[in-house]
Amino acid sequence: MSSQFKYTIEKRKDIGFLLNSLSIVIALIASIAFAAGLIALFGAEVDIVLKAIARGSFGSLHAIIDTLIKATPIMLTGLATIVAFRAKVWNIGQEGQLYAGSMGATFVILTFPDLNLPAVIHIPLLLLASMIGGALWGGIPGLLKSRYNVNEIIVTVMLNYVVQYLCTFLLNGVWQEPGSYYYNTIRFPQSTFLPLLFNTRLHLGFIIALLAALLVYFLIWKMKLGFEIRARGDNPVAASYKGINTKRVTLLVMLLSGAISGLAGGVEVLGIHHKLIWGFSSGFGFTGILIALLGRLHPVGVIVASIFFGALHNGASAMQIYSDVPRSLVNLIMGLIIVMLLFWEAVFKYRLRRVENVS
Amino acid sequence: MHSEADTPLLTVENITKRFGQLIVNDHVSFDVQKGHIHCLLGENGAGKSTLAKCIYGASKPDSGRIIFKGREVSFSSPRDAIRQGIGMVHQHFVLSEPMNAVENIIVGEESTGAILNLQKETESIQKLCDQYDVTFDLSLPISQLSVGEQQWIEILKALYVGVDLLLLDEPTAVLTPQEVERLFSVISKMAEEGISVILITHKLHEVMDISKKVTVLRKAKSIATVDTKDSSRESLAKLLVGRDFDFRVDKVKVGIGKPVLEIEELSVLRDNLTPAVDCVSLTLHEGEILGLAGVSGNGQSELFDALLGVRQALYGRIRLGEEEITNLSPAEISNKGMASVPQDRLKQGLIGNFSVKENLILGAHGNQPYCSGGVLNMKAIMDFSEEAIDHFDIRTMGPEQKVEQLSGGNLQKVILAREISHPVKALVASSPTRGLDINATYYVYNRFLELLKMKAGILLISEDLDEIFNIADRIAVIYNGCILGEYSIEDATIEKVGLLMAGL
Repeated sequence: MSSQFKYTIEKRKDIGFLLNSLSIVIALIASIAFAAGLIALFGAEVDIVLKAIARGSFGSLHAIIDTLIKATPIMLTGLATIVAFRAKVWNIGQEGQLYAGSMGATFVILTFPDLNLPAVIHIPLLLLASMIGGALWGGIPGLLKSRYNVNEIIVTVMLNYVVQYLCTFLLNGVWQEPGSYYYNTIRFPQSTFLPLLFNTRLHLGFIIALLAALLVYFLIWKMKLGFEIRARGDNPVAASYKGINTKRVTLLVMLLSGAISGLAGGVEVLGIHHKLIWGFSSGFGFTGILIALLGRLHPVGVIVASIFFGALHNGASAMQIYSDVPRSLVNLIMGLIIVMLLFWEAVFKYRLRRVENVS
Repeated sequence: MHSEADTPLLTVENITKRFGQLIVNDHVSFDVQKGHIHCLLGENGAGKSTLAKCIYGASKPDSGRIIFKGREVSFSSPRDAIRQGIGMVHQHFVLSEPMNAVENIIVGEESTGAILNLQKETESIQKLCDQYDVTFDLSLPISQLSVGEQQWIEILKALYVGVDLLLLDEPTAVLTPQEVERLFSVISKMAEEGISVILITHKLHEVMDISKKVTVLRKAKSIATVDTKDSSRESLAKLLVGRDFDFRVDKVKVGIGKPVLEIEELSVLRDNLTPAVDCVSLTLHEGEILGLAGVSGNGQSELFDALLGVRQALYGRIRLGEEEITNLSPAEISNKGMASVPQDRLKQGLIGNFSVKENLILGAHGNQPYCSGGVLNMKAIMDFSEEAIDHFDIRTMGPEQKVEQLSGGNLQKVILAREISHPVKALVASSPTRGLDINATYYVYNRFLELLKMKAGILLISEDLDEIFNIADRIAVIYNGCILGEYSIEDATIEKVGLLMAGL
């Protein structure tokens, strides 16, 4: 009796935490290696470029602070994505909701210029206004989805354009700083500036984003609404049989997701620019979606991923200065990471198994 | 020396098949003689269907041999198996809906050549029908045929190709009793003409009725192959379960009380706005099981949905206890004491990706003590689930385990624990024991009986007549959305009910 072996490929039941983490690490390493290959291909010296990226992202206190500043808005849009995607409501409108948020805060400032409120009241009021702005912009697709089952992906994507053009229209008109050639508002009053932390450029927005991560965690895993969000996401049929109003959950999720994205817009305008500038968001909303996927729809994952992306962004600026490699390489790396992530995730869903063949 | 007659048509030798860690077939062996009806008897999950797929070439065994007509075979696809003379009728039919019977029968058949002569094919199929006493209109598209008729097409297809061995996977699950009788007479005729039939089933009386030999599978192993005439229901059940089994349900008459669930002239639409439930009136009393029999697709699922508030009632009224619940929300209805056991456990009843703990409070997750002020009370949830796991004997690694990893019986325990841990006036159960093994089935029955003692009523929607006759007090038959008859269980007979199920 001899025994021989053969191998079969079969599906795993559960990927598990370890392989899940491994797929992320492999995706990161593989995409950076791929980018390094590209850099070499274009004739730049890889080690200089990589050193420049490292220096620009974490090389000094100043670099670290800059990285955290860059991470702030995308951390918030990433959190907004978690809330929606956990319910399998496909909100792709973070970018537009972020604009709506910044416009909400701007609206309050420009409409009531003589409030003369102390900063402790003025700032929360403005952040609330930005959340309401975002919630409104998320609520439209939410209402259409829950009432008439209109595809939320299409509506949110299209509304991104609508709000950005609306913003351009206002900045080119009633909101434009008198006499300015550029599309921006007047500088906001001092009482609207987010306080700076530790005598650096880092503003309160970063703390707000961390706090939001904590709240999102609490919402998703410790609250009734979070339970219903996850139930809707995992099995809407069983959820509705057990009395969960899935339409209401859809609407709430869009309002909430929009509010968090709106907060990102408010924080960015009040913390960095101190005025509304045309094109102030370099795709923070879309980056947030990538970050949420990279962070596996978990707040801790989003914190880590957003800091990583912030670092990549700053590193890219340094890279452009020190090595003439264009900074758009970062976008390429981001895209690669997502493709690699999906690829390894698919690969790890299967495993090789040795079967004994007794003959 | 073996004579020609002694050589088995099919020999299955030490077939082993694994899926991951799970062994589905563990050194399974048996022989099938020419012209025999051979039953493969086993509970759900015993490995019957996988074994059939290995024989039919739809799946490859990891090890072991299959010898057919004296030669070892290794089919790479069902097409190979069909060429050699093995046919199979699956549990879920594989027919092309818009095409008619003749077209479905000859599809894939190579002998027809490039140019079809439908006239000729129709004639030869008609001849087959006459030979086996099968009558239905061959020219109708599949979508207009009943489930029973669709099954004839699958069988005719095998006969038309000219099989020597036909595998039937749970063929009676979708048939009325009369249709089963007809099917069995055709199978017997096939056997007389020398065709061997492997009938896969988990119903003991079918084995006793029709088979010559029976191979019992238990937990992936072939336990025994016995001559049917030498065995009894009891001896087979013992092989099936591995110990003596008591078929009786300790049904204590609890005394039927006042109405708990009253359905008055209820009409409900399907998704495509055609009537599914048509003026149904039923009354369920305290301490009573009312069995609703019917072939699936006759309005049962829409009735189930309407009772739970998941689907709107078009006309009519539903009362639970003293209160009217027509078109209230599912949450309101459930809070008033309506419990439910849906037909599809993982699709309608549970959230697969949720833990046992979370599934146990699904629906009550917004009520005290599990939640206050919108925040979940993790301790109360944990306490409740540990108690429920213990009390309902749910076999799990713990409250945090995902339910999708549990077996069918344990899934049903989770649902029952959730549904009847809170005060219940009426329970609506749809095929509550489908896919469960004998132990789990009787577990469910016993829980039902306990519920009756607490003065609840149970509406049991089931296609399984044995089940209804076993535990119901009254039986109503639904056909095409209408209640065609109601009997007390003493007055009902399988024949009467079967005729009504067919709409006669």
